[in-house]
Amino acid sequence: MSELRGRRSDDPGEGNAPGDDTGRLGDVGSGENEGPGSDDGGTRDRPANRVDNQTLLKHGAADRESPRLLTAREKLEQYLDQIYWPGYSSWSSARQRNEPTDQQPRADVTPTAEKPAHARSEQNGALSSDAPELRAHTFHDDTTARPQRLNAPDDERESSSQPADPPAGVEPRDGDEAPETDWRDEPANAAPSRYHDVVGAKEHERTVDDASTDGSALLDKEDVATGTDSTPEPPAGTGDPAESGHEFVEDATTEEMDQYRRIREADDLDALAENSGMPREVIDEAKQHLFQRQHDVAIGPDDVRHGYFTPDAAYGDLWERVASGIDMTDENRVQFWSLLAHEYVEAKLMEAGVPYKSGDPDAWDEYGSAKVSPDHPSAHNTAPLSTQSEMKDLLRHWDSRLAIPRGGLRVEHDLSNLDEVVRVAKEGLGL
Amino acid sequence: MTDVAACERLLARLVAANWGDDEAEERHAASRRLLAQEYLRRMATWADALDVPNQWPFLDLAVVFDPSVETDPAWIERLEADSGHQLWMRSRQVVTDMFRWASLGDRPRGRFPEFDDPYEPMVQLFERGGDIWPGHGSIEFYAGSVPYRTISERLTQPPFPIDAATLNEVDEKERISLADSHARMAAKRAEQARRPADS
Repeated sequence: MSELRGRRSDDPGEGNAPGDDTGRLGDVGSGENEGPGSDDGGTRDRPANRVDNQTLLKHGAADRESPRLLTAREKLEQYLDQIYWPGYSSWSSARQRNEPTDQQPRADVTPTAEKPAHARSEQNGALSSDAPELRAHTFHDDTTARPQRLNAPDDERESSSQPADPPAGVEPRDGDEAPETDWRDEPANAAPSRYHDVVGAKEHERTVDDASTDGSALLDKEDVATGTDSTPEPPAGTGDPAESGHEFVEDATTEEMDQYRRIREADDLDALAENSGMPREVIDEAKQHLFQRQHDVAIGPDDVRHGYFTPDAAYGDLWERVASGIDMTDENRVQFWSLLAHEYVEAKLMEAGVPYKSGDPDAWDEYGSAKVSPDHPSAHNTAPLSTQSEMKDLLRHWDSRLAIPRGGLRVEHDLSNLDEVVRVAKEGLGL
Repeated sequence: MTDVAACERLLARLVAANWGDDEAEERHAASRRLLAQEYLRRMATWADALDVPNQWPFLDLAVVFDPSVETDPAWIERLEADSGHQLWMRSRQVVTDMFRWASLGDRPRGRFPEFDDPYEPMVQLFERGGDIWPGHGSIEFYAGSVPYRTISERLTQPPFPIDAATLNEVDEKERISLADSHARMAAKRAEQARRPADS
């Protein structure tokens, strides 16, 4: 399972002693055993002091046939082989190590993820062999023919110092128009740095700006005005970010991006619904929004980038842990509940034309952070609070921040009232 | 050589932090965003200097600095016991390395005397309102969503002041701005409520 190697404190690990119960699958919170890594482009070395769990598989054939303990890695490999194709985990590990393997993707496999996507693209060209439902997901782009900025009310617009807004505020940054206090428009060479000297050819994985500024990663202003979108990005799993262009809003580690590609293709809705007890239709919408649709995402004033959401192992691990049903904790259940609530409502608000975050410079404070106020509504800031680790009121920011009347409305524990949450949110936003 | 005194000082600060205090989170939202920005800058500086830019922004800095540094779970256990608060996953990740970093004592400063303490902004962020959680390329907390941006951008960011006076001023400025915004919203809704009767 080299795909998971070296992520931020979340490594399922290998080779542990029976009885150990640290470093569990998806346990991004611990990090105690994370080593320094080797800075090798996202496939960092496994920490020497890594300790991983090994627990009895409580259910299933292995348990009935043999008392042998399975490692977290083995359990995850079983799960991945099940949702992709038999031998996927071994094949993928070999690929990660650039080793030759005869366990190439096979044709006689499951309908939604017949082969790893990069194998498909190599053999058949981009998207040519994707399953219909995956093609729909892959090409789904919530920015197409959709208003990208929720206009402020007239009285608020009058109070703004900004001129009339462009359709989406998605043009590349222009230093001439930036406020004087905007540190981001300082020359890149303002501070001599080892980063610029050392990274050189290996280039930092997160650095996408150089390419972004040439416009290739951004919607052209005219595109948005006419309701069209940029050329869809290459399909899932094309591997090298340099080859795939701007697949994600911003790149993350190789492991995180591969994990998102894996989840994007996984046929996991039934398992997620069964293991979490949450409504399948909510999970479906949340998954499409979180993993399978591309979005326009403002990451700064007048800096809107396009792609799948920037991967984070915390989300990916939580998702795969719930899908596998292995070692789910009460904290995981609350996190998943709030994550689904957030993503579902956010998706519905964006569907109604609310931007993920506003790119309007007035929506950002002088230090470059998005403000949360009624003046610049955004789907992200209006949606229920996400990934909470304890049961809290997920809409409390409506009272103190957004001034959205809710009459005691709270997100139900079974997520049965999310459409009502969406309705009240829209009403509060004036939609 | 573990600097136990430094770990004890850190523990005392974190035990006293406003974990789970919704009112503090609300009141300090703006200053916490500023602190998150400064945290990202400082971590970028250290990650760059230690040549681990790919691990930024949530890296185990102390382990990178000294791979032999000890991870003593007792510090987290004491923090959670004494504060009565179970750390959330992203907070736990950061706090775990905070204690490791504290245990290094003055050694990092001896090697990089010109660098700011990498964790001071995050300690203050916790003190002013509690937990953080993950986002899509951002640090998330109540009324705050701070994009990572790129490490190269963070390296060009000037240091932001994080003294108490500045932080309080930022919060007060946002409080006034938010009150104005709410007043405008209330007036607008009142106007909308009158319109059907007028028509």
